[in-house]
Amino acid sequence: MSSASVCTQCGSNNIQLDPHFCLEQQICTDCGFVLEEGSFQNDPTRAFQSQQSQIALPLKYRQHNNFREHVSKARRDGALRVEEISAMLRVTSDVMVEEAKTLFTQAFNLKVLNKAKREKKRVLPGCVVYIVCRQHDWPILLSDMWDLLQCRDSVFYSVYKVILAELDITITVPEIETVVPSVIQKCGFTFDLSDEQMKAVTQIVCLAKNTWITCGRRYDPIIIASVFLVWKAEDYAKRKKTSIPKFCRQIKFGTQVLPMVRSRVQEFEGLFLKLVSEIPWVETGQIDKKNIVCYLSDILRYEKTLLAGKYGDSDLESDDEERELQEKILPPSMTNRKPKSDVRDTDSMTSKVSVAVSYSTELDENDIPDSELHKYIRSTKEVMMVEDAQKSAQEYEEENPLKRKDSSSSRKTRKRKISDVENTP
Amino acid sequence: MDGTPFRQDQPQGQVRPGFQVQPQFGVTYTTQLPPSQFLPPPPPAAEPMLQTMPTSELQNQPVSGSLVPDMTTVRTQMHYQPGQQQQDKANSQNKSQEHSQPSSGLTPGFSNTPGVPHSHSHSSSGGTSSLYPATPAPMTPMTPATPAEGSGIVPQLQNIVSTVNLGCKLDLKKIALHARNAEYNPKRFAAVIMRIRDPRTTALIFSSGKMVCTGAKSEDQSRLAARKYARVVQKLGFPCKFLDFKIQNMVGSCDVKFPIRLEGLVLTHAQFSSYEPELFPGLIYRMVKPRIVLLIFVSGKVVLTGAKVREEIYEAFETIYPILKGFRKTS
Repeated sequence: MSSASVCTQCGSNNIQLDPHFCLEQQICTDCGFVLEEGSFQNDPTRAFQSQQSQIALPLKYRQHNNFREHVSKARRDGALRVEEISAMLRVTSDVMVEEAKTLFTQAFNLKVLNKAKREKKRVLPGCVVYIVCRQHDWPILLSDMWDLLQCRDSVFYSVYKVILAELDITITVPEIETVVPSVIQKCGFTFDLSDEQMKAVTQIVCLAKNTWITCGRRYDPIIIASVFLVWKAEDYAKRKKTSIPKFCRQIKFGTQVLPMVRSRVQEFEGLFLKLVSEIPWVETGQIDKKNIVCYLSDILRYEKTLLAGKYGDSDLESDDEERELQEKILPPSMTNRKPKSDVRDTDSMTSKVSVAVSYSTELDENDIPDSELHKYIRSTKEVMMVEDAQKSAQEYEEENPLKRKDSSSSRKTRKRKISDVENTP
Repeated sequence: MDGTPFRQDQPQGQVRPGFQVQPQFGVTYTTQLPPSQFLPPPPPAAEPMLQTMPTSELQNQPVSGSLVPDMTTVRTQMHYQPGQQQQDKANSQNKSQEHSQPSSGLTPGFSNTPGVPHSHSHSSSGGTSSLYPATPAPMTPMTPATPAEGSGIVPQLQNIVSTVNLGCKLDLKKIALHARNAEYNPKRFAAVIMRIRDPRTTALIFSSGKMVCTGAKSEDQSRLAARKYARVVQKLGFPCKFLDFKIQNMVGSCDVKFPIRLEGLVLTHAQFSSYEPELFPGLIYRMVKPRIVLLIFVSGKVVLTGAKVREEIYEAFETIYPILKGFRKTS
């Protein structure tokens, strides 16, 4: 539609474009004369063009729907979810929220996640928020996220790994001492920890880090075990009989982490016993795992000196390997070696014996001797017995039809077959 | 069987065709041997250990490849049988080739190594007598070369997964009915699960005639077990063959005997490592060359998986060992 500059009726220059409903018109504002009106066919401003059809969509429709930047409902909801999760984690920085939204858009457009199950798409906003928090060095753990999102750890981790791999992002695990306050707050203990106690807990956690206890382990049980020892040491006379399960009951997820907390406490007590033996004014004869917490303050005060005495040449190729394992500070998995009692160890000898194997495509008697072959094939009598048992089982099922419990057969309609032929040697 | 650099059950004969290993890798083998003073003297006579090929064909096979794994460790642990002298003579040609190899120190990094050509697929097609064993023969013991900077640790194979095509359709119900040690529950899984005791393995047999064999500790054991399963199925009345046997995956493990700082390793090798203690206690190291996945634990145990041939496992371990040594101390 060519734009006219002068009204042909009154000669005025005041020409305006008026989007009259869905059709543009050039109108003189002085006399109201319609100079020119747009055409659906000749309208150059088309947001949607197809080779088949020359009809342009009306302007209002295009403006309202914004075809060029159409956003799907899932993406809109995901962006809102990012904001909600950020609010739950108290992410006050707008920059971080915007980064999370941008990352969500990038992750949402990944082909791998586009075809993923709904369960994975639901955890995508949480993954994105976690990545942004870690990029800004927030002391947040993966377990915090899947507790918050109420999702499975495997699902969350699978989506998380896909995002890191596809978008080439590197995220490091936070240091354990940085997450101590957040974990203690998450546990919700019935008592408050003073500054000195918090400092002692952090010191124990750092000691655990230097003595291999934290390597490859979850952080929560280690921190809870440290709090237990500090709490017990504060008033040993009253609290010496408090058991670990009783202590863990006050934690929201205490029952889940109880076994790990118990083993961490035992490892701490073993470590403290090793270190306290280096203190000259302590008589080690009367110290055991129960009252070792009484010497916690001394151990933490002289930690570096005590560790220097225990750490030496960690070469384990000496003859007295067992003594090394007991005296030196090593990862618990190295010191708690159990004797292997696997049945397969007896087969390790057979792997040393030479094996005669044929490379032919035809099978013959040399592949397996007849004496061994007969062990794996049923006799005629056995086959008849099994067939009789199957028939009687089938008749019983037909007389007493049971409801199917397995979900795998709920979609497909198959005939019920007696197929549970389980044989044990 | 610690410290044995290669299989005991290798067929006798020549080195696998096309098996050309770089000198560094060849030196790796020699450095894995114990010192010579611990080696017993060679036995006077021994029988052929394996009878995979006629002797005439063994002698006619060309000696290719530059690597001949050293036999000194084998001598300490092999069960020699009379007739071994014949094999020693057959392999004596290899000695001259071995000595010509440079015995320089092992370069810690394998980045310049083009890599071992892995043309070790076992060709099962063709005639009986024309088949060439795809595995190298047990080598003649020789004086070990000057020990270079090697780990001295040899990963042990723990599991081998292989597949084979039996070449005919199978009635799984009939197999489950007539075979002992067989499980079949189509509601749970559409295959018969069969087990044998020697070698201790498990097989998944599908109605299409394809079979998966798991649990063997060596390549030949896996092939032997697969043949046993195929023979059992053949005895049940099916026209089975043994086509396209292929090893799909090999798993090895070893112990470096010192603790490893996983947090330090993930910081320096972030592009290859994945360490999430919340999920798994080990560090997952995805090596690019060779394409092996390693599970590294704080206790020093290392699991290597994803290999098609055992040399990939050895190469991967020799590549990772100097890296792990760097994270041995706490400070």
